[in-house]
Amino acid sequence: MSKGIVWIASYPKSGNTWLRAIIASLVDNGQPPNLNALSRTCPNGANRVWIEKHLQVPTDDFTPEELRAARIAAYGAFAQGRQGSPCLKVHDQYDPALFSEEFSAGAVYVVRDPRDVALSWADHMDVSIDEAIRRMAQRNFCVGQGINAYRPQTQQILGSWSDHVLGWIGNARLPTLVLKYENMLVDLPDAIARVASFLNMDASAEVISKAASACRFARFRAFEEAHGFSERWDHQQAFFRKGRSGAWRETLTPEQHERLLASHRTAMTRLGC
Amino acid sequence: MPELPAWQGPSETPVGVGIVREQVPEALSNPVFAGKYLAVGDDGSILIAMDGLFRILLRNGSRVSVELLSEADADTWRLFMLGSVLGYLAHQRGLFPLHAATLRVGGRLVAIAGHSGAGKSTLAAAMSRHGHTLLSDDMTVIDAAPGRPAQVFPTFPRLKLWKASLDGLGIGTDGLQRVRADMAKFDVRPEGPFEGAHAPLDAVIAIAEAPQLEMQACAPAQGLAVVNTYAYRPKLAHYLGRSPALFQQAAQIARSAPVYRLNRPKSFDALPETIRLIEKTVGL
Repeated sequence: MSKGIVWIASYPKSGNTWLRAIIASLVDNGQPPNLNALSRTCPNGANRVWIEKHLQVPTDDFTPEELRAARIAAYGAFAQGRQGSPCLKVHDQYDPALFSEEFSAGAVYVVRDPRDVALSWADHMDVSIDEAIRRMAQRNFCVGQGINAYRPQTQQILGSWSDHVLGWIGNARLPTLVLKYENMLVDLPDAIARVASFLNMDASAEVISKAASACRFARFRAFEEAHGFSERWDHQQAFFRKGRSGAWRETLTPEQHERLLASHRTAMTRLGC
Repeated sequence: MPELPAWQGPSETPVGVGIVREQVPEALSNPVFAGKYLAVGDDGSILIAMDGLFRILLRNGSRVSVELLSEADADTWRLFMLGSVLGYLAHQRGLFPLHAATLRVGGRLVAIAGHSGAGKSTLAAAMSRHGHTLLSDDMTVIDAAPGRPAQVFPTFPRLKLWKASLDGLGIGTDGLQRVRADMAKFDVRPEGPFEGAHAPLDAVIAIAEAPQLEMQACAPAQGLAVVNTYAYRPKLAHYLGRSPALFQQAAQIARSAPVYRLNRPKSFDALPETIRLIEKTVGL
């Protein structure tokens, strides 16, 4: 793969951190990843400190439009001067200007059943499940909008969950590896092997097997209990909560389930949910 | 520039920095660094460009050329001039720009250092309302020449505060100017006299968020590391070939003033107690 960026992309709460942990472990020959240092091998592409580092200007007084232009410029500078890992984490919906082929090599997109996303996303945002479902259907939904206070991340346009999924998996411009969270739970070594191959990493079967045992959910939970996790929000009891699929069956009301299906049927069918 | 206090010193004082409106080239001829917003020439000149707004060229630490590119927006260049550009100018003049707000607490000059979003301006605003005098917000320019105590050059009495901070501090936005149109961030001018003369720095306090309020005095090596961490845009010093000098200046600052780490909860409720702890630390 060229010097271009590989986007580690997902809707929030869909396995992005898991994927970043896998990348960190692969880079380190299958060692257990330090979850509080994932930005070393896969920084957050909306983080203003990261953007400023590549542009050498403070962005404190930038407008949202200027911040968007600054992101694009930072990506170009990063791709040009890059020496280490090509991966950048993003939660934005696919946007051909923001993720231009000029500086991109490809994308790994991880997707999770939206019914489980709704539960986890509600906990993350500290809102009701109904509100999370409403936001997942909102076509202009954004995070990181600094309306009244400084925000450490730039604005990110997620769009609806369906727009997000269909935009990324349907983009014809970037080679994209699509991974399903549910399949990762079933066969993690297979997912890791595909990531390694997509990133042109020369990972032996032994490294892949070590990475798979280092990146099991139980390990993440234990890590968070022992060391804390820097990306946990104050209101959350834990960032790594359940790490399983199908919890929605016990939690969603039939009416909530109906609403999710009504909003996302096309994308869900496309994914085989 | 309306933000700056009028000169109170003798009228025959030579001009330190001249700001001139004139044409500014789009690029530097021999850049050692060229990014979208910033370029550094091999002669040490620095070009700052904001698409459609302005271009500013800094030469020899003394000449600032400004070309405005927008008829409609003739103000935003001053926001950058009095912010980041001042830091670049400090680098060019061999001074140490510290990412810190500075206040006079009793008789002592205290620099409150922190990265963007750490809460420097909010804490500085609360301290200023508590009767302490603001000398600079966000960036503090320090003369850290060897052999004498580090001196602070006051910049100007202005704070840039987001609406959420103003709300938390109980300051209404009536009559306040927005720093930029459509941005809920306001220009706040503390009341009271402004100190224009340079004065020795008495303490550096680096702020970090933590559940418990706590002040830790740094051992000398640690103090140097802290000051170094909060050097403003150190990469620029690297492009100007003055990284070793910047490091020596950080050491000089850490030698001439005690350095502390202040862990504190980032809540408005914790501000009074935080201010008391700062006062106590500097012997008030």
